Amino acid sequence: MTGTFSRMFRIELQKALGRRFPWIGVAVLVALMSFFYVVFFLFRGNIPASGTRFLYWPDSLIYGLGYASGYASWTSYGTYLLIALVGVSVGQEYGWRTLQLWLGHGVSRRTVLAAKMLLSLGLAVGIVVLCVLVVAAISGVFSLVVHGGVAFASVNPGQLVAGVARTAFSMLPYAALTFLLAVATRSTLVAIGGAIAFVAVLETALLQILPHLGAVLDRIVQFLPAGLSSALNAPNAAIAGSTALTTGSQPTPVEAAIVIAIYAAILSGLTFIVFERQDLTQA
Amino acid sequence: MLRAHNLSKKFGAVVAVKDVSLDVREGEIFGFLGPNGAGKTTTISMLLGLTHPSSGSVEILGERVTPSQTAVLHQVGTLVGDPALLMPFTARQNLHMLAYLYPDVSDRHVEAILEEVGLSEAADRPARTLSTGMKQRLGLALALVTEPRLLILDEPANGLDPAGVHELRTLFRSLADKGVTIFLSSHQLHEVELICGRVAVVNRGSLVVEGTVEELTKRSGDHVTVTTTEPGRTAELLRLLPDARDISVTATGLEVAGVPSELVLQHLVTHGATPKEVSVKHRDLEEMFLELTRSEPPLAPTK
Repeated sequence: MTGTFSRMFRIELQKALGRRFPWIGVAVLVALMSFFYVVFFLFRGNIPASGTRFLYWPDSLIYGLGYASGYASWTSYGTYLLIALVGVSVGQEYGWRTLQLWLGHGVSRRTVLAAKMLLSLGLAVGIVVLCVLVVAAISGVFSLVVHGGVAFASVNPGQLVAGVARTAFSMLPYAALTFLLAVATRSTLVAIGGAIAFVAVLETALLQILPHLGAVLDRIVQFLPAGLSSALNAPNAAIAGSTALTTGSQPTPVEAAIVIAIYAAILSGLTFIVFERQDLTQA
Repeated sequence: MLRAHNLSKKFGAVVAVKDVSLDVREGEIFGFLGPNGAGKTTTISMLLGLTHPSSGSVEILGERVTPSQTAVLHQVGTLVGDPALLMPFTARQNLHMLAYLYPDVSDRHVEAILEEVGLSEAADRPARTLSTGMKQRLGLALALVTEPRLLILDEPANGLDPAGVHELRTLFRSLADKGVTIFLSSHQLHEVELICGRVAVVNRGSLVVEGTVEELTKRSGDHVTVTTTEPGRTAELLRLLPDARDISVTATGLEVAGVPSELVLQHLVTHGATPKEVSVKHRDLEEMFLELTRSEPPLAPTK
């Protein structure tokens, strides 16, 4: 079982990285991040000096995490890339009928799904690390230009690793939602479209509207995935000098982590149940 | 080798497969026939644990197979419907990825399979750029690359040209000689007749008949051809025979089924008719198939 799982995971990894689509996504992510970062740098004169720390090492490294997930859904490009990659990884296998290939060769349904879920986790971590690396490179240049050097010694590795872990973990509910939509509908388009609609439209609208409708609803907003992500990543935001996404009293990072884990577990559990019951005659 | 016991599958009120039982023996090439929509692919999907049976059970190599219990399928090669291919990857990569699940399968074996199915020259082309026939060859290669003891193939000759079909026949024979059992669903009745030892015919979800090709072609008797200048009167006389059926007038006389030629001749002579010739027309699998799948009544939907 373990042997088959590790082999299946290696195959998943090869399928994810051995094609053009993910690299196009990465290129778009890097281009967007670079564009905004350079714009901020060029217009830094309009920002109070104390607010420009995010443009230079070491604070820039933590700030870069926000491009993956955390401070605002409209700049969480990493989350959108993760949704696209998970949607494609699961949905296309229905289109190509390759799920039948693995299952028809004795790989259990649980192993197939678990390998894909582990891949999703790996992709989340990879995307967050990528965001840090891109910002590190660009802000390294800015640091050299403005300060004449890069403050390598000021980087707190523990803080950085914890920030990466928190950010990747906060992306899991979105990955799990995409996974569930892909399995339930057998459609790449519905999975990606549905998850992005949730992040960019529904959740964003709820975050904007509910706090104005009373204290209870304001509290509920804190427990939406974006609210939880904001709460979990509050230490990142504090270091990077960013503002929190929600305004009410946030859950503690530990509470947020627990609820995020519950979201991911429920959505993943539902995915397993749907997949176990699915007929794959002509899917 | 492969046993299905009373397999049934309902999709809502529609019965796709009803009480199909099969027994495929080790080392044989078993034909599984039926018209479009007869339930062949659904049955095969249940054999492979891809679809949940409404009732019934499957055993392969002595182990039960269900959608949550498929470990034995590690020893089975499959091709169900259109080939399942990772489209952006080359033919060679497709094979290597599946072979990676099997530690014993060597790179040399992968190359040998590419050669065997005639894909060596196209091995480095992405699967999506292959022609229909080439995709089918790659699907076959995927079924073979794991060195299976049992092959379950649904329409493996789809999209192949006559030379490809001939190569496939040779390949199946050589696999059977090596002891590989083959469960073959096909529309190509002539091919089935040439290579299969036993066949089963399904129609409208039910198993209509099962046996050797010889048994089945003899099952409903040969057609008797009567050459005569009086087809109308002869037909009336033949209708008097209790077992006579499928009486049809032809350009030179008529044909009748269900009765031996000796009885036809004796009956006509006794009643004063003088046919020019009475001969036996042997039936092939195609005629038997058409007759069986035409005459079966449709299954009523369950409530």
